[in-house]
Amino acid sequence: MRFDRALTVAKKDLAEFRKNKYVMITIVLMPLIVSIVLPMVYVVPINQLSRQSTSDLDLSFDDVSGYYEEVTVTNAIIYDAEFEDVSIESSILRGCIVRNSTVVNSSISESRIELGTVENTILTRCDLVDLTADVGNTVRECNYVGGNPELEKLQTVMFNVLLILIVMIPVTIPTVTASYSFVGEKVNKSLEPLLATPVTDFELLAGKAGSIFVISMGATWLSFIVAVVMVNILTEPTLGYYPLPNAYWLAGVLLLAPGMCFMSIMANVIISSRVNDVRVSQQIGGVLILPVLLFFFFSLTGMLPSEVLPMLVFSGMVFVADAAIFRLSMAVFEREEILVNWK
Amino acid sequence: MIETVGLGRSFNGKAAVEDLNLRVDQGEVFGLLGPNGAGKTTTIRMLSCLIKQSAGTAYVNGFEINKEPDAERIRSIVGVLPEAPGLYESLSAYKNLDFFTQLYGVKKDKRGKRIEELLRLLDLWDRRDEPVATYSKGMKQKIAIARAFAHDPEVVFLDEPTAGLDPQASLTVREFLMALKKEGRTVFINSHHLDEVERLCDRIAVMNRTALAVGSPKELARRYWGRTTVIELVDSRPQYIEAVKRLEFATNVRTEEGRLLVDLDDPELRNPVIIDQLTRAGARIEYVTELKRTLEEVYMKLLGGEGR
Ligand SMILES: Nc1ncnc2c1ncn2[C@@H]1O[C@H](COP(=O)(O)OP(=O)(O)O)[C@@H](O)[C@H]1O
Ligand SMILES: [Mg+2]
Repeated sequence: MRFDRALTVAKKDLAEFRKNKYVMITIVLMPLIVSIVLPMVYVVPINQLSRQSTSDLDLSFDDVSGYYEEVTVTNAIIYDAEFEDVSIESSILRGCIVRNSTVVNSSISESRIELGTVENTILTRCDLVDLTADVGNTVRECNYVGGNPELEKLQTVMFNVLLILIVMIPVTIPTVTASYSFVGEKVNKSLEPLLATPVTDFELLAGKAGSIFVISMGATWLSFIVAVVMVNILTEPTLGYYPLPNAYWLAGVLLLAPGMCFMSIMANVIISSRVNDVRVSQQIGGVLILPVLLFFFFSLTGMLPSEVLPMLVFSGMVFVADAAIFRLSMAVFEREEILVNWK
Repeated sequence: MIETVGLGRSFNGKAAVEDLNLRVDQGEVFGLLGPNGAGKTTTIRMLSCLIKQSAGTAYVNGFEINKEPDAERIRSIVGVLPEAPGLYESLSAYKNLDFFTQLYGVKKDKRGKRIEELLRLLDLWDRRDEPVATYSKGMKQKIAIARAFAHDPEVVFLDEPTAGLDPQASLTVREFLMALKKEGRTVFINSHHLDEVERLCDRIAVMNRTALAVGSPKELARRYWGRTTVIELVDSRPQYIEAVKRLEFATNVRTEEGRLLVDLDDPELRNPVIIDQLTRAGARIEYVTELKRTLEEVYMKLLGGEGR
């Protein structure tokens, strides 16, 4: 393997890509939409869920601190009290401990809320511990302990969808670029003079696959970084923390994305050996996105948890498939095979 | 030097090339002549280590084809013009040549000099930075030929260098090849134009699956298809024909469509004598030309009229 020759091939391919408007549109447009436009669309519901604020409070009396159990508190302003199994409505609480209770249309600050449900309430600088429901609240600088179930469910869906789209980038760019790179070279009949040079089959494949891998993963990781920054900027004011990247996302972007990118490139080499039309090649290549969609379908429906472990396992499966498809494409991408059997 | 020893290749059980035995000397321009499907491209592909042979073997400058590490050596000392130019249409002529030459490991400054030399020779230097897509068919073919010569190969294979070109472009390509011939490389040309190989090559092999005849153009012409001088007279009279028939070297003197045809071994030497003879007999001559043989006629002769 002479690295310089593979590099020469890669550079030539990149020069050709620069002159191909379909390739350029794909490389530029797709990451742009995924990383800038979609985060804006997707964070809206997250922010809305958090922003539905309390109704106007009609406060009729002040109250004092103490311990309350199994009562209903309405239109109250309460400091430093402790509640258990109560129902609080349209009240303002500060410095309280609220356990196993229901809070609606209120404003609570610097308090600890445990095991209850909270709806349409403004929460400021609170500790939220194992809430069973958390709907329509405005949450500022709160500390979730044990999670925010409603918001988390929504976030999981939204962030999963965004991650699907980011992982689709390294699958899609190769279907466009590889079809031009391989089918194009075939239609152009430039493979024969190329194979007449001392470049080895492997160097040629490495150069061509390498150039596609570099631009695909470059676009993917750039989109990832921009998307993370966008999501964080847009949701931090309401969430009170930066939701991304988490380990699930990192595994998706650092393992699954390159694994799928490699698979897409190799699959397109094989497809290219059998078709003579760039569009047909792209259509067949599109099928590759299916296993990824299936995986995310299970994650979205909750059949698989959106956590690192399933992502690692799935990525591992992709790597195994990569090794198999690589051997297959090596067999297809062989001088004699290309000249005699590539139609 | 190229030597093939019982070289053969079949596709799906059908022989495309069979028991081919050829010898091409160092610095020789050799023509492989044959109709479509004769196995010329297959031969070049085997010799340039692009596809494997199924029988026999061959040596290019002492290296055995399709045998590592010889094959990689052969690829690096050989230049190939394939059937199609196969250039990158969106890239410039310069970039195309530079890319391929770089794959042959030619250093940057040497590359630049050689490419400039070739592009100037082809009159394409001023258009070197334009994308190949804007070039005419003939220009593309010239660039592809330049590519075959750009890395200073010891042996060059050219597969139908003027196929599909208009006469004007064919002429410039032939002139280009003539100019490159002076560089003293071994050049192996495939063609189905008798005319073309006759003009360019030192020696010719006529092939159809296997070599049917080998020799210099003159030898082959004399031995197999003869050379015929065509004389057009202002008015054709029997006494003129009789006058020519009296010359003992003139064989098969005949008239066809009012033209006088004479078979000759050495027309360059004999034509002036015939013209003298005719003029003395009182004939007035309009044209003297050589009868062009088509490859098909040559085949008929070689195969004893059984076709191919
Ligand atoms: N890749 C191939 N697969 C099957 N048959 C082939 C292939 N290449 C050439 N042939 C056959 O081999 C014969 C010789 O072809 P070729 O070498 O291209 O002839 P030429 O160049 O003299 O026209 C033809 O009959 C052709 O059909
Ligand atoms: Mg041919």
